[in-house]
Amino acid sequence: MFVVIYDARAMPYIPMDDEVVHRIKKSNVESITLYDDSLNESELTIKVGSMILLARETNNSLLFGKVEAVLMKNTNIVNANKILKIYYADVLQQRHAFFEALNKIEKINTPEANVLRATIYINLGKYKKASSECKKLIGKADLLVASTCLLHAESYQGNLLQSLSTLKKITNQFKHNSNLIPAWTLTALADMSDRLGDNNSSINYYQIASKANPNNVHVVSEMTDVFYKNNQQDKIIDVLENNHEDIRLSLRYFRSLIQQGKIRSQHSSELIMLKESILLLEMRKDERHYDTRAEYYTWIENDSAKAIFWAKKNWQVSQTPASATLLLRTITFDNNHNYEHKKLAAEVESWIKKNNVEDYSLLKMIRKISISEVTA
Amino acid sequence: MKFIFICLSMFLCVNVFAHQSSTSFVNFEQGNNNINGVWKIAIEDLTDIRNFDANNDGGIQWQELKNNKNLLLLSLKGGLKLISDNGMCDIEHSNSRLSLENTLDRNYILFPFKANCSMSSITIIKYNYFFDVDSDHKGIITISENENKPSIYVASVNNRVFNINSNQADSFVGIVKEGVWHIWMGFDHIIFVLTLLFGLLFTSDSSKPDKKSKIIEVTKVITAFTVAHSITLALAALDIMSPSIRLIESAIALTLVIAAIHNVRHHFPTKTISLFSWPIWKMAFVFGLIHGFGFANVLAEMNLSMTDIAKTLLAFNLGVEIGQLAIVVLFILTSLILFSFIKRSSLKKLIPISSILVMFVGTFWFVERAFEVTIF
Repeated sequence: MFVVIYDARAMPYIPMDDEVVHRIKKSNVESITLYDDSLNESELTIKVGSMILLARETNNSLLFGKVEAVLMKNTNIVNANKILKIYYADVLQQRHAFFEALNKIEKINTPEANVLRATIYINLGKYKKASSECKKLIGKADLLVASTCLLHAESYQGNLLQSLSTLKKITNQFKHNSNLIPAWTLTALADMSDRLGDNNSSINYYQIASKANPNNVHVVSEMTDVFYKNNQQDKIIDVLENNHEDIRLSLRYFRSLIQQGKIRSQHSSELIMLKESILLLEMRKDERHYDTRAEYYTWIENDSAKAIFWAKKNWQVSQTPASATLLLRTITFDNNHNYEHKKLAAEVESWIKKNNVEDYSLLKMIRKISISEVTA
Repeated sequence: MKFIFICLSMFLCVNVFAHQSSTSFVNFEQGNNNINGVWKIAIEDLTDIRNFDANNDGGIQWQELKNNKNLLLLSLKGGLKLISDNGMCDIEHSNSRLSLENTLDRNYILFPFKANCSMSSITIIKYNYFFDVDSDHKGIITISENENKPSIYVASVNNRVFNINSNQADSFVGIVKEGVWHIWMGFDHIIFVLTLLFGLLFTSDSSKPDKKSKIIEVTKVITAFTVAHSITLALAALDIMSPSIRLIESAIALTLVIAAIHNVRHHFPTKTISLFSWPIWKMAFVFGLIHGFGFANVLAEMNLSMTDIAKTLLAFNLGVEIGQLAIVVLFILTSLILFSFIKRSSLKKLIPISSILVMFVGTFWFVERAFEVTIF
C-alpha cells in the first residue's frame, strides 16, 4: 500500500502586525553572535568548535554550512591553525566534500586528523587506507579508540568475525561501567553484528548507544534498519513515533506506517513536508543526498525507476555495503526484474568478491535477485 | 581527546537535515516596460543576519520585520544584479509592499522588485546573497519569458554568475564539443573507421596503388560513412525510426568483426559471400547507417532541448565530423611516415594481426551487448 501526496501551497498574504511569523530556534540564537563579531584566532577556534558541537547535539546539519561560511571568511587564520583545519575538514566531510576534506588535513598527523581520515576513507569504501590511518593511532590514542578504529576498518576486509570477537573482548573490560564505552564503539559492534546476521546483538548494542545518545540520528536510524530486517515494524513505529523530525528517521517511520497500513489523515501534512524536502533537493541540484531520494522513491512513492536512478548515482559516488544494500533494495522493490537489474546485481556481486565484503543480508539479497526470473 | 570522541560518535557520515537547507527563490518576467520580479527569502535565514526579536520573546512578529524593512532591503542590495547590453539594470525595491508565504515548515518574505530593462536585453545575472552566512545556501532563479518553458538557474557558493544571452552560442559549441568527444571516446566508431582505412591503405589488392588514388579512395570511404550516419542520426533524432539500443549497439560491434574479416578475406574462403567482395566505400555506407543510430542514442542521452532540432543535429554532427577528420588526418600522417621508413611488404604482415585483434574486440563487445553480460 502506498500513499498519494498532494502539494499544498498557501497564497502569499499580508499578515497582521502582531502575527508571529517565525519562532527562533536555540541554534539560531547562538549562531547570531558568530556573524557579528570580528574574531581572533582563539575566539574563532572556540566558536567553531562549539558550533560543530551544537550542530551535533541538536542534530542540525544545516549549521555546518554556516560554520563553513565563517571559516571561509577567515582563511588566513584557518590556514595557520591545525585545529581549525581539522574542524574545517570535519565540516567538509559532513557536507560530503570528502576529497576537499582530505586535502585540508593533508600534512597533519595528530590523532584527530588520523581518525578523521579513517572516517572519510571508510565512507569512500577505501578500507585499506582507513586501516593504515587507524594503525597510526596505536600509542597516540587510548586503546578503545585505536582498536575500534582499526577493527572496524579491518571488518570490511574479510576479517569480520575475528574483528568483532576481538572488539567484544576489549569492551568486556568495561562491562561493569558501560558508560565508558563511546557510542562509536557500540555502533561499530552493532554494525559488525548486523553484517554477520546477528540482528539481536546488533539491536542490543544500538539500544545501549541510543540510551546514552538519544539525539544521535545515525544510531536510531541504523537501529530501526535492523528492526526492519527482523520485520519488527511495530518497534520502528514505537521508537520513531515522537522522534522523526530528521528526514532519515521520517522516511523510516513512514515506511513502516505505509507497510503496516497505518497511515491516517493526521500524517498528511508531514508527508507533504517530506515530499517538499525531496523536491527542494532536486530543485537545488543537490549532489549529496542521493540515498535519501532513493529511499523516498522506494518507500513512499513506490517509483522504482526513480529509486533505482538515485541508488545507482549513490553507488557510483561511494561503494560501501550501505550503498550496495540500498541499490539492491531498490531493485528488489521493483517486481519487474530486467537485464539492467541483473547487471547491477552482478556488478555489486563482483565488488563483494573483489573486496571480500562480508554482509549477510547483502549476500541474501544478491542470491534473491540472481535466482529471480527476468520479467521485463 | 574530547574531539576524537565527538567525531567518532558520528563515525559514519550522516545525511541528516532536520530542516530545509537555506534557499531563496528569485522569479522574474517581462512587464509592460520593465521586468517584474519577486525575491522570496526564508525568515529563518534572515534571523541569521540580524536579531529581529526586539522584545526577546522567542518569536518574530510581522511588525518587528516591518520595523526593519529598510535594513532588510539594504541586505538585499547587490545580492542580485542584472546586466544588460546597455550596462547595469537598476533594481528597485523601495516602494514594494512585503508579504508572507507560509509553507509547512518555514515562512518566506516576498520582496517584489522592478528592473528598468527588457528581458531580452539581459546578458548576465549575478547572484551573490547569503553565501557569507551559509556556504550551503542556494538561489534558484526562474525566468519566465513568453510562453516558453521557464529557464532555471541554480546559484551556489561556487557558481554565482550566469551568462544568459550567450547561451545559444554556448549550447551550439557545447553540442559540437559533445560530438567530438563522443567520436573520440566511442572506441567502437574509431576502431571501425580505422579498420576500414587500414584495409584500404595497406592491402595489396588495390588496383590503384598510387598516392592520389589512395586519397580519393579514403575520401570516398569517409564521405560514404559521413552521409550514411548523418541520415540515420537525423531519422532517429526526428523520431522517424527508433530501433532498440541493444540491437544497434550489438550490430555496431558486429560491424567491427565484419570489417576485420573483410581485410583478411583472401586468407579465408569467404568469396562466396557477396558482403566480403564489396568495395570498402560501400561497406562504410551500409555500416555507417548502423553507427548513425548509435550516435542518435548518445544525442538522446544528452537530454537536450529539441525545440531547435536542426541546430542540435547540425552541431552534434559537426562535432562528430571534426572528431572523425582529426582521427583520419592523424592516421594518414602516421601511415605516410610508416611508408617512408618501412617496406610495404612488412606493413602488410600487420594486417592479419590487427584484424584478429579487432575481430576479438568486436566479438567481445557483441557478446556483452547482445546478451547483456559483463565478461570482465
